[in-house]
Amino acid sequence: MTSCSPALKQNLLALIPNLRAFAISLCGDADRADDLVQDTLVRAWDHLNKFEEGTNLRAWLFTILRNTYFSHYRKRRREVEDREGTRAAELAVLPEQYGHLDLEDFRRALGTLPPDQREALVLVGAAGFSYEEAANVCGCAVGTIKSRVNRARTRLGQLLFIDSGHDFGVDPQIEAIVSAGGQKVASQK
Amino acid sequence: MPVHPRILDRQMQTALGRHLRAMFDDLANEPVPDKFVQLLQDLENKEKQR
Repeated sequence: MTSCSPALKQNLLALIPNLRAFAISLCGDADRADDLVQDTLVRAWDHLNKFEEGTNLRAWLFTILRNTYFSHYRKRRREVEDREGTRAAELAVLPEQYGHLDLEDFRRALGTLPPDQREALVLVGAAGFSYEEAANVCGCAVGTIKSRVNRARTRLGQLLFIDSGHDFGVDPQIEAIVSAGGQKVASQK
Repeated sequence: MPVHPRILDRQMQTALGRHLRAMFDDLANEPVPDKFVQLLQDLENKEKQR
């Protein structure tokens, strides 16, 4: 097994906070995320001889991390089904401006997405990968990534910006978006 | 005059994108935790002992 060049080791080190950010968005929990990062680093180290220096180290590491997540860290129970009704109600806010988002609400909303949608959204919308790069990381078609991202965005929009009940009254402009989307959040039980 | 839904949707998505990146960047800009520095060092040392 070839040893790690100092440059490669340095690059690896520098990417760890990035990996942590991705891991936390997948796991939701910082401790689990750190375990995931640790596992990822060990696997990456074991397979360093397969990595071609000069190619995209970040994408390579992200690939190992997400594969590890889906093999060993993803929770088995179907969180989305459990939460969809109650979470939507809990998270509903009626912000005065769209920039006025509570970070905690945002994180929780992100956590309710199915992992494959959350992953796609984070890779493309947060980590700055192109659709093609994200598709490579996830081992799927570009079209699949695009549809996951779109669904994730739509869902977050519904959870975070649309009022779920009658407590606040429904803004007619927002209602128009909901109707245009073909779904009524208020009817969720 | 009501704003076109597509414009509101665009505004929502812009805000979502901002939050996504802010959330990610906050974490990505943190220093490398010591335990990972140590981990890499341990992995390297183990290999040198082979």
